[in-house]
Amino acid sequence: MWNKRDDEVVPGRPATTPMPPAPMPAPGESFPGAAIGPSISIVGELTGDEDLTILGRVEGTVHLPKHSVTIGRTARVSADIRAKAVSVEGEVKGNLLAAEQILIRKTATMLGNLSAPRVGLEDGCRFKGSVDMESAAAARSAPEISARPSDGPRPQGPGPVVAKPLPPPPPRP
Amino acid sequence: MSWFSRSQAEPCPPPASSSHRSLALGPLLSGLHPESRHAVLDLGPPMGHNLELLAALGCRIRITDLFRSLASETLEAREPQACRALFERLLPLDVGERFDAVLMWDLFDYLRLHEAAALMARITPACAPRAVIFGLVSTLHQIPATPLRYRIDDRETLYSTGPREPQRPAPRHTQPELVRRMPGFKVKASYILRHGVQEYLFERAPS
Repeated sequence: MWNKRDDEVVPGRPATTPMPPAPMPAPGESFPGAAIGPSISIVGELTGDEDLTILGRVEGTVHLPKHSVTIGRTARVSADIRAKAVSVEGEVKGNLLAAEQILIRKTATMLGNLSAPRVGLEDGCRFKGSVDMESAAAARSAPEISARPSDGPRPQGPGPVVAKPLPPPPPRP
Repeated sequence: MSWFSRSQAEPCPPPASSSHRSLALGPLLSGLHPESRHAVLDLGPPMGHNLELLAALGCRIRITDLFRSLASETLEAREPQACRALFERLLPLDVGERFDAVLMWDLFDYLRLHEAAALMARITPACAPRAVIFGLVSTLHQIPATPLRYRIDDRETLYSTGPREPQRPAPRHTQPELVRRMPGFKVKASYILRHGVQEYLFERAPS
């Protein structure tokens, strides 16, 4: 009696207490978002009004202009994606257009063009395509790329031994 | 082999990294003005830092890790008679796409001369007049088996990372050999650096 374990099944009672049903969000309340599981394949047009995580296969188009789309590691997506923000960890073949940002993680394999004010490519990712951050560039001032020490490691030891100074660059057409 | 397929290569030793003073970066970056919205073709692996830097200079960037793409091709596809078709397939370009700068990095060291010629035949029509190609050619006898990854730290500093071992013989392409494979381009500047790398800026002739 005193040694009775908590997980011991009592006759007449279910082995585990059933989980209460997940509460439905009240009108106006935020919802954690939808997910396409790793065993799911979808062909067609995906639209919606909530964040989306894709772990399975999607072919077609994804249109969630006010929400975020996350392409998980197990996902294989062949679609153009339009969203507020896109994060890619899996495989995508298609063009991505985001109102805020695109992040290509180091586990990602991305074949297509990226267009967003902010685009991040983690070193180690596989990417083939073009990147357009026009609005981001316009928003920023000219970069400070000067001959000053950077945060990274500095050159050590060998320096140039032969140098041919260049004239000032001609004006670009 | 599918572009999506993962390499099953042996695990590489931990990457080594180093920085070197660059004399070609300054002139290269000076030619990129934020208001002009230049187009840059990067033929190396994607590097977030470079992307950020070039985007801040107002550039549109196309990235194609050409060595990785080439590595998955058969030897037959890389033979002289098939090479041009190969680069057209590996380097699809939009109609009318024009580049003002091409970041070749150390790719020439990993191409045979006929491959370099085929690559140039592919990209030259897409290079604007006065477009600049930035390349690094080893003057050493041995080079890493695969290209290094390069990060532009500032106008004078190029940071490289990647496995230095195993090594392979360097082709040690000479300047005349390269220029002969680059019709329409001339050497704008070249710098021999003490650590065994020659930096090149090739410039396309104005039309």
